[in-house]
Amino acid sequence: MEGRKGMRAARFMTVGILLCLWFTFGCAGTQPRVETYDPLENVNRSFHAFNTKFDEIVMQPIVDAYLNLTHEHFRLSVSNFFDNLTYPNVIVNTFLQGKFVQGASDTGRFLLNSTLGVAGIFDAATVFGLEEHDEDLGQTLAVWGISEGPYLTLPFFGPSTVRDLPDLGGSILTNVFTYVGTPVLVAGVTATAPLALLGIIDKRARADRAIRARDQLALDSYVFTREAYRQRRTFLIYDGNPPVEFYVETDTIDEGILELEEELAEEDQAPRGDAPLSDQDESVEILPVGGDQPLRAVPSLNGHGTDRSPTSVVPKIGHDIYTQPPSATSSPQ
Amino acid sequence: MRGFVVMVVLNLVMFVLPAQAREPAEVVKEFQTVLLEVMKQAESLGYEGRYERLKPAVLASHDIPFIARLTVGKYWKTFSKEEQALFLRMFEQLSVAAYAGRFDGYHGEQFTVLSQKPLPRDKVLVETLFTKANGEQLHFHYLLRAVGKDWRIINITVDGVSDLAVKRAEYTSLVKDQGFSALIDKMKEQISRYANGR
Repeated sequence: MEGRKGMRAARFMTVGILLCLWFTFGCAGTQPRVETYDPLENVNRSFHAFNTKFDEIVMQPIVDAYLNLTHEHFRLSVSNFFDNLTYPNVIVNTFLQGKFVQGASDTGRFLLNSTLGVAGIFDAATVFGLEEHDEDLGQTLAVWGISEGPYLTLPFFGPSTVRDLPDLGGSILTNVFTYVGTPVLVAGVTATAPLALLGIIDKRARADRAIRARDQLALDSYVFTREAYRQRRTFLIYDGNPPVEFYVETDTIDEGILELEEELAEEDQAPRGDAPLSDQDESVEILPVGGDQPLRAVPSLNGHGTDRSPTSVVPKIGHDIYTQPPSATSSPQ
Repeated sequence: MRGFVVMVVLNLVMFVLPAQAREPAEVVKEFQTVLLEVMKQAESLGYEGRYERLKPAVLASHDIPFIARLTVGKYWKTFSKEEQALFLRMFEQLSVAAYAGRFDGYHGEQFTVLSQKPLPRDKVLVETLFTKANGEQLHFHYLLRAVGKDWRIINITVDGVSDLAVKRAEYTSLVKDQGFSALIDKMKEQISRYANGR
């Protein structure tokens, strides 16, 4: 009885903390995307250090053994199986985002792979042209206009944000394993435990190359993980097909480029005194567009056409995403 | 005598005659061609050989000083002249070392240029597809800026993750929290990691 009360109190406390986080940050409108916006950095860094150590001591040796001892085809079948098991999460969120055609295709994909694909071991649906998509509750909330909220590092789970947090619960509710595995486990059959473990190993093995790349590339492993995670999530919210401005306006990059170009122009001009503007680039036509942003003629691929598209703004992922919803088309990831 | 004439002609071609302006996509394609060649000969060249072959290709296609200044943002102005020169030198070395260290073999990879899209303020986005032998594909989006009459890469976004945005967050955070020397130490550490194949 005491234990049940304790569990209930703990559950209320967890929900309370999540709601506080949500109301404090998640629903605070569109957060300015400044490069250092990370209010929970100290706690996150501690968990990041813990996760890295745990991964190094426990997971990496297991994954190394798994990669060395198993054949690529076996690993692909394992990944297919677990992808299929969790695919109802994709279906539900596809519909929740209003993508009905994609939702129908995803449902067909799940049914086909569960039957013809022998419980998902073979990806038969792709052969029939039913592409795999990547949707989850975090992406759905972004499409609904909820802002990202602070970045979080969760013990064992790794990178997340306040907006992505509810997906942890959602993905359990939509996982086939929850409904098939749990009753079997309760009945005393322990065959599901190794299967669950295999699922964890498969997930970590799939991330292995990315983790190794991070370890090679990062000067600061925590910041690298945070930035890569947030950008990758934005990319997925756009279904891997963001507007072209996404590539210039990621976080503060566009601002930084503009500032630096102005500084360089000043530095160039300084020693020359009153050097005419045309000295900088005689092929340039400067047009006043939308304020003080100069635009220049840019050649097309064949060198004939020009484009003077106005400075545009990528919809921030959050409340104003509906002003330009992401395309319904997806590219396979 | 013939050798002298050839030298004069070559000098004329290289330094006197105006250079043919390249399309942004050509800049990317030329760089990727060199990269693939180096990957194919990775083993025989070794790290040093790859570094030497890639250095001119990286410098001819990337605007390294511009990228370097962007990665440290407002902190650039807080560096002394000597520190700025040292940072630029380290950044150049690290940029070449990253290619030489990471592209250390060839397993049937291919680059395909898919599109070239103009952007405001003298920028162009070149989309290329990196295809591995097993069919796995990665989208590389190169952001180029006009430099005189030529184009230079200032950012690469791989499947949605911008190299410049990640570096800018890392570098500014390091300078802010630990100072300039710590940044340089980390860069040196990373260069030696690439050189040692780790």
